[in-house]
Parts: sequence; C-alpha cells; structure tokens
Amino acid sequence: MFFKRNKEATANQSEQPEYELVLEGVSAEIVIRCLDEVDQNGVTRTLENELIELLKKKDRPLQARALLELSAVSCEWRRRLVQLPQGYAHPPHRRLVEQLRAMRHVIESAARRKLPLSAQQLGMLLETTCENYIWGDSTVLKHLVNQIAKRWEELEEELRPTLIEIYAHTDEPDLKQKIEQLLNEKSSPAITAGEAWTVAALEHLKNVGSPLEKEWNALLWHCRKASNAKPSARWSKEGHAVMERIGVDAFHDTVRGWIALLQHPRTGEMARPDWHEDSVRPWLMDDHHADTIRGLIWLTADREDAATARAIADAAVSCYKKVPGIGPRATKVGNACVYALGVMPGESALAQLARLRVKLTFGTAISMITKALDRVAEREGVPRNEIEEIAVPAYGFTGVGVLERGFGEHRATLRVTGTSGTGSTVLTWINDKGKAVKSVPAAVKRDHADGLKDLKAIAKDVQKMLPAQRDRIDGLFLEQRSWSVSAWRERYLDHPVVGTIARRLIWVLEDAGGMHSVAWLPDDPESPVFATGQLVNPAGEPVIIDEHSATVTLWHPIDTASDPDTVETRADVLAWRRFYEDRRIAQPFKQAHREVYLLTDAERETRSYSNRFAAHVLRNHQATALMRQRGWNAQLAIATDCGEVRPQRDIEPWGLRAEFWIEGAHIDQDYGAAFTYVVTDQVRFYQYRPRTTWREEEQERREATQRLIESTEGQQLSNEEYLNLLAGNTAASRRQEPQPIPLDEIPPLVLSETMRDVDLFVGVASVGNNPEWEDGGPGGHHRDYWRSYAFGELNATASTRKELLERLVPRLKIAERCLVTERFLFVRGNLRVYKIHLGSGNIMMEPNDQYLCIVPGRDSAAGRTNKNLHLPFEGDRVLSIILSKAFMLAADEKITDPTIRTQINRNAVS
Amino acid sequence: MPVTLTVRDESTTPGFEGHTFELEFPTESITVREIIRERVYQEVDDYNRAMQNKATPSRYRGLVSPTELEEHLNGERPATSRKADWKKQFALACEAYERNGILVLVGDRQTTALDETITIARGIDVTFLRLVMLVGG
Repeated sequence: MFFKRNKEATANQSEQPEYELVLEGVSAEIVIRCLDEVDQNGVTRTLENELIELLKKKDRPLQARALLELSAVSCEWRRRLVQLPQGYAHPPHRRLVEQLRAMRHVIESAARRKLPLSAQQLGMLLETTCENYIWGDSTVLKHLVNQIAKRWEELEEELRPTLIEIYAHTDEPDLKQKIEQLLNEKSSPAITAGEAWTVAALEHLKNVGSPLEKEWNALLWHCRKASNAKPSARWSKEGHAVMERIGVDAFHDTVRGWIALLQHPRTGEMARPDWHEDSVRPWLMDDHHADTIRGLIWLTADREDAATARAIADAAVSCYKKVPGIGPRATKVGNACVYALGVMPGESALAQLARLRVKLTFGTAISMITKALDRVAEREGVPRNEIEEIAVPAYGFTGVGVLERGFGEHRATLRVTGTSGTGSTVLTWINDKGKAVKSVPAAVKRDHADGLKDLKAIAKDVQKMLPAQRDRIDGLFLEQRSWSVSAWRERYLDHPVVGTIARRLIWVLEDAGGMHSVAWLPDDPESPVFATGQLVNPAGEPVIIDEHSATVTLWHPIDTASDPDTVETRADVLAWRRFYEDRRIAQPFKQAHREVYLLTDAERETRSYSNRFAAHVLRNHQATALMRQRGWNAQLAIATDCGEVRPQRDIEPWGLRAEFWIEGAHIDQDYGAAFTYVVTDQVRFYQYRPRTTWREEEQERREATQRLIESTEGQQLSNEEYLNLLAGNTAASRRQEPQPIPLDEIPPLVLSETMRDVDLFVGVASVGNNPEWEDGGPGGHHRDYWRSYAFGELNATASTRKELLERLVPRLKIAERCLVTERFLFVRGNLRVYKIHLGSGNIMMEPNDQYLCIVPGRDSAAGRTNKNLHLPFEGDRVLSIILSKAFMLAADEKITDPTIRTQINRNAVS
Repeated sequence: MPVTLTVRDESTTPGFEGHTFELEFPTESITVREIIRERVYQEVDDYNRAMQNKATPSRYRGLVSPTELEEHLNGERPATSRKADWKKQFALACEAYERNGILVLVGDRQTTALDETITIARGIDVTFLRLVMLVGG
C-alpha cells in the first residue's frame, strides 16, 4: 500500500487528521515530508510540486499506484471534512482543504497519463473519482474516460455498467457526449438525423450495402473524434486508410455532396434540447455533427478538386454567417473549411481562398485565411503580398473577358459584362446552323450535360470572383504596390478575368522618360472596353513606353509622392474624368471620380485630430458592419464601463493606424446591451504597431529583464544601483499611451482615403438621413431625448398637454366616453375602462391597473401610416398617440389586433 | 362673398402652441373636403416655394468646411428634397381622414364625414389633429 490508514486516531477531531501516511520506497519519503509541512502557510505549493516531481519520473507502475491511493485517500478525507465542525478558518479544516486541493492537482495530471491500470482498478478509480466529483469539476472523470476510450476493446465488458451509471448521473454535456460516443460506437451511427447533410449521409449509409456501410460508419466515427483544431498526423493516416477502403473517388463524390448541403437549414430538432428562438434554430449545428463534418472536410483536402473546393468555400461562408444571439453559425466548421483550402493542392483551392479573403469580414475567419494564405505562399515559394493576385485563376478563358467553347457543332460564348451580380456574365449560343440562339440548344443539353454543367459552374465562380477582385484592387491605393510591366500585364491588364477590371482603370507608368498615366482604350469604340485595344493617355493618344524599365502603379487623384504642405491633385484628374464620361465607360469603382479629402485650415488648427465628421449620430449596427466591410477593426459599441470604442484601421504599408472615435448615445440602454446609436467624434492617426496580446507583452518584458540581469553579471553594482536599474527597465517597458501624429504629417493620400471611408460611414449610417428618425421613429426615443435635453421641461409639456386635451376632448366624437383628470385621460370602452397617462401615453386598465401594451405601428409597407402625408401640422407626437389610443379604446369591441385583444380579455382580477 | 376661416394647430411643442393661420373660401357654406383641400394646397405650395428659394437645399454641412479644390472635385452633394404634388397629397389626406388618420374639428365638435357641410360663422375655428397607427406590443 502506498498510504496506510490509521483508524485508531479518532479521539480528538480538532487535532491531527486521523490518517497518517505511510509510504513505501524512496519517493514515498518526499510525500511524507511534504504532508508534514503542509500546515505551515504556503507550503502546500511544495507538496504539490514534490508530488508532481514524483510523476515526472518514468516509473509508470508507481504512478498508477499513487493515483489509486491518492484518489482513495482524498475520497476518505472529503468525508472527514464534512464531519469537521468549523469552517475554513479552523486550522484542521483549512489544512485538510489545502491538502485536498494539492492532491486534486496531482490526480488531475496523473489521470491524463497512460498508466498500466487494470479494468478493475479503473473501475475503482471511476467510483472514487465520482465521489470526489461531487466536490469539484469533472476534469478528472473526463481524463479517465479518455484513457478508457483508448483501450475500449479490452475494457468494455468490465466498465460498461459503471459508465452507464455515470452517464445517467452527470449533467456535464461534454462528459455525457464522450461516454455516449463510447457506448454507442459499435451499435449506432456517428450521426443522427436533423441536419440536411446528416439526412443525406444516413440515406447513403442505408443504400450503400453492408461491407461498405461498416467502413462508412467507421469513417464517420473516426471523423467525430476529430476534436482538435487541426488534424493530427496519426488521425489523418487512420482516416486515409478507411478512405482507401471505401474508394477515394467514391469518398470524394459523396462527401462533396454533403458539404454542399451545409448551406441548408436544419430539417429537424437538435439532439440536445435548446432554448434558442425559432428564427435561429434552423441554423444551429449539433456539436457532434460539427465535429464529424469537420473531419470529413479535412480528409477531402488531399487532392485538387475544383468542385470540392467550391463547395468547401461556400460552406465556409455559410458557417461564418452570424445568427442573432449566437454569433457565427459554426466557427469550427468554418475554420476547418479554410484550413482544408489552405492544404489542398492546386490553384482552384487558392482561388477560393482569394475569394473568401475579400468576402468574409469575421475576425477569426480573416486570421484563419491569412494563415492559410501564408502557408500556400510558403509552399509555392511566392512572396506573401503577391499570392492574392496570383491566386486568380484563368478559368479556361480564351481572351480577356471571353470564354468560347465548342459543344459539337454548337458554340457557346461566355462574356463578362460587369463586375457584380448574376448579370456580370452573359452566356450566348450559336447553333449548328450558325445562328445565334438565346437558350441552350437541346442537343447540347442532351449530349454535353457535363460540359454544360462545368461551363455554368465557371460562370458562377467568375460572378463571385469579379466583385472580390474589384474590392481587392480598390484596397490597393493604400498598399503602395508597384509592378514591373510584365508582371502587371500578366496579373492585371491581360489577365482573362482581372483584365476586365484592370482595363477600366487608370495606371501610372514610370520609365526613364517620366510618368505617364494611361488607360486601356479598345480599337473599336463599339466593342466592350476590355476588348482588343491599346494603352492611351487622357487625350486618347497611344502611349509608347519602354516595357523593360518601366514600373506600374495604380493611379489616384492625389499623387502619392506629393508634399503634404503644397498638396495638389494630379493635373490630369479632370482630363481623365472627361475621358470616361465622353466614352460612357463605367469604372469598376470610383477612381477618376474618386472623392478627395484635403487638409483644411480648421484641421491644421486642431493639429492632432480632425473634427470633420464629429457630432453625427449613427446607427451603431449598420456603421459597425460597414466599417468591418471596409477593413476597419470595429467592435459593436456596448453599454458597459470598460472603456471607449475606437474603430481603427491599420495602414501598415505607411506605418500608420487611423482611429475614428465614437461613443454610445446613452438612451434607454440596458447595461451590457449594444447601443442603438453612437455619436461620432474625432479622426486621429497613430504610429502603426502590430497587434500584440498582453501575454506577448509580458513575455517581452520578462525577456528584457532577463537580458538586463545577465548584462550586469560581473559588474560590481550596489543594491541601490541594481534595483534602480531594474525599476527603470520596468517603467520603460510599461505600455506607453501612444501619441497622435499631427495631421499635416500624414501623407495626403492616406488622409484622403481614410476620410473617404469615414465619410462613407457617416453618410450611410447617419440617422440624419433616416426619415424614420426624422419622423420620431417608433416611440421616438431619440428625438424625444434630444428635445427633452434641449428644452428640459418634460413636466411642463405634460401639463400643457393636459390643458390642450381639456379643450380638445369635449369636441371629439368620443367626448362622452372620455374624462381628463390630473394625470390621466380616462376612456370608457365597451369592455373595460382605460387610463391613459398624460406624460408617457401608457395605458392601465381598470379595475386592477393592469398594463396594456399598445405601441405606434411601424408597418409602413402598405403606406397606411401618415408618414407620407404632406401635412406639416405635426404637433406633439405623444398627444397624437394619446388621442389615437383613446379612439381605439373607445370602440374596444371592434379591435381586431389579436395581441391587443388578448391583453384586454385576460382575467380582470387575478 | 369670400370668407376667412381661422385654422389652429394644437401642439405642445414650445414656440408652436396654438399656431394659427387663415384660409379663404368663396362662400360661407363649405364641406370638410374643401377645407382639407384648401389647407393641403396651401401647405404644399408654401413647401415647394420654400424649397425653391433655398439656394442649396439641404446641403451637407459639417463642422469643418472642405477646401474649394475639394468641393470642386467631389461635386455637390445631392439634394434630398423633392417637389410635392398637392393633388396626391390631397388624396392621401382624404384617405387618412376616412380611417381616422386625421381629425378635423370645427367649432366645438368633430366632423364625421368628408361631405359634411359647414357654415362659417365669426369666431369658429378649425382644428386639425393627426393620429397614429397602433399595434399591440
């Protein structure tokens, strides 16, 4: 025995615990010493360390015994603890608690190991742990179940009853799921119905035939065990082995279909009951299903497959989509999708990553994609900032913006005609008689179904890729990118897909002869702008450049090299604007007509910040979404006291960071809820610094101190000098509040582009532009707030209202049913009597002052509200509400709105 | 003989309490519909004129005025106002009256039908009230 129990010493409870520990062997001595010292303050830590030291030794059998004994002893001691009369302040009590705590740590780390325990020993261990479990968390149980899972074959018979009992008694969902998985592995499939893809998978299992069904089941169970963020080498190897047995092609074809189904809503209830709202439920995933599909997605990444890559990317978009009250639908599945695309060889996966890079705005998604692109860049040996432009595939296009393909005698032409939406590509046909036809010829449908499907898939891909590329190029203004002419031609100007965008943009070529701003002009003015043509200047004259020595940059109205003090826009801005206006060419985004924002005298005055967009009221949610879309790092402002929100944008190539200060408009906001409105303040610029966590900062500080200490070795420093040195280091490394950079030092291009973004946020999300808000909105909270803030006299308003009603009510149709009193307008309906409060317009019903909730309707869809009525005798909104309510309630038997009727008809007296 | 009718807007907004103005009618006997029509016509006319007179209607104005060059390049911000059509507004108002969206009080009582005839006498004024759509909460 590792510990021996001494049951005689029970006489005096307040003295020593009655168990003395008798240990065998050398390591046991350590334990004795520690337990003796344990009642001195702070020494428990030593006990714990020494015991852990014991575990560090390679002696597995000894550790197994230690675990058994510690578990049994702590179990006994806990019983003993309950019997002790006093609480924690009582020394013996405290001593026991400290010892138990120390032992639990050791038990926890021992239980994580692979120890040579027999089935019987494990059973005992489970029982003692269960008893301990009442006292703490279920970590140890989880570790043990994991151990058992690894040897389930041999242990099943002995341990099944114990596990079933634990399953019945625990309410820890993770533990329940782990045990359930163990108990069911042989007998039932890894997935249950309820989700679109699992229904399809179960159907597949039913139809696939018995030997394969077993393999598929094994594969699904294997995938379900994929509980890490990344697949381990061993897991992948085992997974691929099962995959080989199923047949690699069959696997890919089947699983691709399942992945595509991830975009569909649930077909049934969740396996575990939940409390979510009905609108949210269809988008939730069962946890074990998320694990399973994640494993499947990982396994599909082993070979290039354009269709699978497409399905995975679509699934990623769907999984990262936010559902109200939850956040992203299934972050871990989304992450698995991005991971798989990063691992999958070939250009189709890379193309999908490039699409996701622009499409997704969710923080985790962005960092996952960035990592995946890093990996691809490393694998392909390409500089990181070029990977996204190389990533755009040619999709088999035969020219810039054109794909021609023959189907027997018929010919199809896919043309790019725009940059966004389903209308951005057009598919036309020339039939076997050489005649243009609108619809797909029947012969093609019949004989070339696969080819047709492929062509349509390409069209879809291109439709998604075009806006993604447009947004990427729009973001290049601040990237300071330049290309050699050959690289630029390959990736931009002559690229079959990107070319349709690049040929509608202005570029700056710089060679020995100076700067030339150029744009593409097609030879035939009637043909699309990206058809065959040449580079011209704003006057439309061809430009000849030295192709070998020139470098290319993207044109912006402000010259990047211009001096902040004498900033002028490029001389050719108006010429280029005319160039595009005259030819009626629409640029993919505003370039020639791009708004510019130049430093004003007012901003030179305020120096470190700009008030240009201050004092606007914005809709919080809309503004935040917009900021994220424009690459700003923005959090939804929430009513808490944990500091201000400052949406920021890193402008890394320029070493700058822009901040737009906003604060919540504190109106009727519950603590912890997101603000409905935010008020804007200054725009500022700071030095760029990479995002770090506090952990990294702490690490950095520690290393700096270590270096300092090492540097003083050998020097004879007095205590004072030494301490001063260290203290100085601590003070220096403490995070300094960054200083804003004066606006006149900000490059004009950066200032302009930042202000343009902010103008966009203010312009789109400002309530000033919102007619609902002008009109008071539902309840008119915000405006009333401003009004009461501005005029202050809400009580005075209410009493004016009373005088007004006293004059008005006698003249109304319903006069005989109404009475104005000190605080209320009484209305007698046919069912009950109502009191409408003159201050708030709220209603209470007699006899029991039951609250009746009626609010101004927001339903303006049918134009039934008076909002569009052009009669500016608006008056007092609360007055209107009070009168409206009086009219409605005077004829309460005629109310049809069920939500009002039920409130009125509810038992008058409770 | 043209007669004048005093219209009173009841409101508790400071500065606008009991705002009154006058409408003219050719005869003493008029219907509610005519009162509404006259009022809507006046309001719309005033509104349109005000819109035209403003040199730059609802120009964007912030705390910091942009420089001339910037204004020139970025162009005018689009005005948000439109001209209102009094006939359309009149139809809307009549429709609103019929479903109690607006109330018209003449003298000491509420009118009940658009075609109700009223005789304008000295000292009688007309009050317009606006009601709101309500739903259960």
